[in-house]
Amino acid sequence: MAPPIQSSVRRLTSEQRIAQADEEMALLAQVARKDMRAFEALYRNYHRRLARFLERITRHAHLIEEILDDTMVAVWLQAQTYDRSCRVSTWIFSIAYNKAMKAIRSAGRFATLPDVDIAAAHDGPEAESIARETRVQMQDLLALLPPEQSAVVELTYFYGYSYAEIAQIVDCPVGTVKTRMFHARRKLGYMLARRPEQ
Amino acid sequence: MRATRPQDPQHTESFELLPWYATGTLEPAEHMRVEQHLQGCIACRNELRTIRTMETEMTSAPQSDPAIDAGWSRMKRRLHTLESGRARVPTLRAQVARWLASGLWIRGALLAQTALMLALASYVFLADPAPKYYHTLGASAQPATGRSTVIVAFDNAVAEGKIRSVLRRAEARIIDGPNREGVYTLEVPRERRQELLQELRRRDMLAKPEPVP
Repeated sequence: MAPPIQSSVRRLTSEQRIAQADEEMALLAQVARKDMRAFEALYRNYHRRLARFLERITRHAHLIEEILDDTMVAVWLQAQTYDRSCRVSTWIFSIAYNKAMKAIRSAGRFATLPDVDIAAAHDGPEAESIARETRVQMQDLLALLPPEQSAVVELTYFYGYSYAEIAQIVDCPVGTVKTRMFHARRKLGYMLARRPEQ
Repeated sequence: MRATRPQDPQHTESFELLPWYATGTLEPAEHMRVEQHLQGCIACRNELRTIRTMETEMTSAPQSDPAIDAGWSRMKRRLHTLESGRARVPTLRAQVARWLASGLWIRGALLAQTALMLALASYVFLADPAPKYYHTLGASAQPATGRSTVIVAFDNAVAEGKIRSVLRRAEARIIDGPNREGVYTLEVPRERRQELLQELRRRDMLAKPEPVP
């Protein structure tokens, strides 16, 4: 018999999500008409969310601020192009993800656990030493993943997006989202299993 | 962590979808299939527990203070700069629309037509009909009054500064070149032409053989 499924996640109910989506759609429509107060509300709604997302996938404080600002400027300038085919948050995260990946590619200086054969990755000294850290946190483990994988993990667990929405955000087929999640789970699961009890 | 029954498509699908099952974002039909599978699959139930651990840790981790107020002030400044720049340079469409709406375009068109006619008349009656041909160094002798030209090629071993010094003393200047063969045309006061050539030869500054003037 399966154990009872209990969620400890502070996530919105589907009704709350719908209400929030409607509210954000209305805000974005005002932003498209160059309403600065609406834009401020949207900015304040998204600042923390985007900052965390960008922190997880870029891991550089100076890049976070820059990409976050560029994302919100793009929202201000392109609000009238939003076609309501997805949630406003999906649209905004998609802009942020694209800008982050561009910045990461141009910076080209992110050391991550190579996305190779999982057995080889498990034997890697970096993964092993981090896994054995007694005070290691989930975000430290996430930092070992390639940004494409940590984005999928973050968007799933923290932001509560469906895999179809994540495919829209990162602009790839749903199968790729599932594959990235699968590889991330294998790595994270391995390291979590070897982490000493705290 | 491994899918224990890879041959079972139901298991493969459920195992893959577990993260979104855990977050409650699957479509109802998918959710139901995964739930049914979980009843009889220990591997997936164990995996779901691991997923719950990840999820809980991620959502309970403290968030850094992103300094929203400072960020918003920065954003306002940037938008202000952006918008004032856009205001100063209206789009082409806006400029055309404004011009058409102003009713001045007929007068403008008449003015432009008149200007065009005047320009054409000037070109036909006043322009110098002599075409400007390309000229070679050997045929370029059009010096200013009282001056003559000298065709030379400098020895590559001679420093540019020394050449410049000789030319300056003879009040000469380069008016053309170098061409592909490294030949220059110099302009020099007529009475100093021989003096310049002698000085260049005396100092071995000229390439050999000297170009024919």
